Amino acid sequence: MSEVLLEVKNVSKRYGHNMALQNVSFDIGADRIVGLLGPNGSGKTTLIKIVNALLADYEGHVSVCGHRPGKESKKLVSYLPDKMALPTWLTVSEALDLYNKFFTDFQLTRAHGLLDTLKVAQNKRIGELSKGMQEKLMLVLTMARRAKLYVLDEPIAGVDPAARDLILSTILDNFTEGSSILLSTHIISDVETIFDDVIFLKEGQVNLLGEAETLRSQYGKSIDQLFREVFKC
Amino acid sequence: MLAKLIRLDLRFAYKKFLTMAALILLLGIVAPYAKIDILSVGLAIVFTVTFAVIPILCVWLVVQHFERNLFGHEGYLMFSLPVSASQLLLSKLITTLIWFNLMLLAAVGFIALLLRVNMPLIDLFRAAFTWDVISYLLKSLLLVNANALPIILAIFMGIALSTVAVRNRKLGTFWGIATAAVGIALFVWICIQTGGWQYLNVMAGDQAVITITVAAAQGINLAIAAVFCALFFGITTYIMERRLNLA
Amino acid sequence: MKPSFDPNLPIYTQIVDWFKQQILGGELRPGEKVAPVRELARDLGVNPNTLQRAMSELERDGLLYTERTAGRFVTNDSDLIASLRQEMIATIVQKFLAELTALGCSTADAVQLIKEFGGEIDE
Repeated sequence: MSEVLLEVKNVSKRYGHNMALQNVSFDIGADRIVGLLGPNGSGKTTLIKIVNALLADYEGHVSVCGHRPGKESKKLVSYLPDKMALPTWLTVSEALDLYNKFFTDFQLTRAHGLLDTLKVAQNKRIGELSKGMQEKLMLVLTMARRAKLYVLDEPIAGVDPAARDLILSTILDNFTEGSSILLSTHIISDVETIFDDVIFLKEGQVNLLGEAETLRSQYGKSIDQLFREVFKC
Repeated sequence: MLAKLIRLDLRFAYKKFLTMAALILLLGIVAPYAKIDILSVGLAIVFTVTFAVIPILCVWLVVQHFERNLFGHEGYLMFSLPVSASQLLLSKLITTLIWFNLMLLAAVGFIALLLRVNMPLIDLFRAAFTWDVISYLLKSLLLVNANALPIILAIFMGIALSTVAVRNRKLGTFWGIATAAVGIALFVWICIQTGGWQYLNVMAGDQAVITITVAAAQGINLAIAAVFCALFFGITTYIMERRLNLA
Repeated sequence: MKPSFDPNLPIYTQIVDWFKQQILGGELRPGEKVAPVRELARDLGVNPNTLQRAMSELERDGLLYTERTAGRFVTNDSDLIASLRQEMIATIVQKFLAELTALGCSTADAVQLIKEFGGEIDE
């Protein structure tokens, strides 16, 4: 627990008059699965983009394994964006090849195995795959890396419960020993049992932060129920 | 990493550029058969138009690729790779030069193919393969490349700037275009002032039909181009590193 | 096989209870190897650290033990299993009787009820 993999300190991001993030602070130590929870538009993706250096214009301090988000941190962070970032004319095996070339921690055989398990056809072009299959491919590419930190932006949004179980078990099965996961989601039921810690993000601010088990015994409620209470309209 | 990036960039765009080069050459082959006598408007005009239109077309494709690949959805992939912003930009620049010269080559081929009606290709090659002609062509190529680079970089700078205002696309686009235009204008103006560029009028009778700019003071021209490249490269890298805001 | 957890309660106590039931009920036999934490966590869909915490508690209770290289096993101490099983049965029966007594049933009524309902369950 002594090693801090991700440090976010007083991070704010303003779009004109709109504060997308306001004084967000938290740490993630080694070997933790952290849920970044909030409805759409609460600032989850903005925060994740900052951690992954896709959004560089912010106030505050972010450190990934001691590096400011940038070239060095990208070697250590495996990121699953909430958008389809791969060009659709690539074939699945070309996409694997691309990751293999650029990320030294990518494990090609593991990726092949995972694609077989998830039944993703390898000889097809990405554009020919269904949306669900494309998401699975992105997940495989992300989880086949031996990273220090996995940042997964809404990996279970818009999938049916069966696929959800498969995605979660793929994540739990493949993240590196001693590494941590930051997983953002607005769907909490069925997922909450995998979290060590949860962060509630409400209108760009940290509303609640703590160990999931502690919160459960403290409030006598599930994280899902707490979430519904915090975010009720 | 840079070599890998360049290979990736080439793979991302090669189909478009090869298709365009093939189309240009095809036009050169077909035109004489189709009794389209392009040359009748005058060799100088065909020459100028070819060498104006094709590079502009090329830059247009490059700009499209640059914007989509770095600032569209694919940007989520490109900016997640463990490379620096300057490597990303340098790779784009090098591949652009490769496409640019490929297009110039296609333009040369196009004109040679048109000329084959008047002069067999074999004689044309024989005439061209003298030291004087080759050294002249190489020198021109160097100058064309050197002067194209700051212009391309100014456009890249404008695109990068336009994405900073992520919540106000129209305003961003305006500033992007304005910055690129000012950058290019400044470069051209200084080139002309220092004698780096000079006009050469192509005459039809006693009227100047087309004005070609040529580099007279070549050393100064190259130096100015280098300074502008460094400036635009620095600004663009700064935006990509410190002000990036992927939509 | 996969238990469903009540997310309103701490997960790790539910894992402990589930394992106790498996061991005392003979589903997991004495000396049987338990799957590695990572694998179990995946199968149960729970956090690996939470599962580890539950395992540690079961080890403290003596129901599981770890051999440094070979992995984690169910205890061979069948006396312990038997006595814990008796304890658990006693607790359940006592609770059951206490609740029935509160509703005004005598012990004899309870025996009669068990015979009636037990017959239905056995069928």
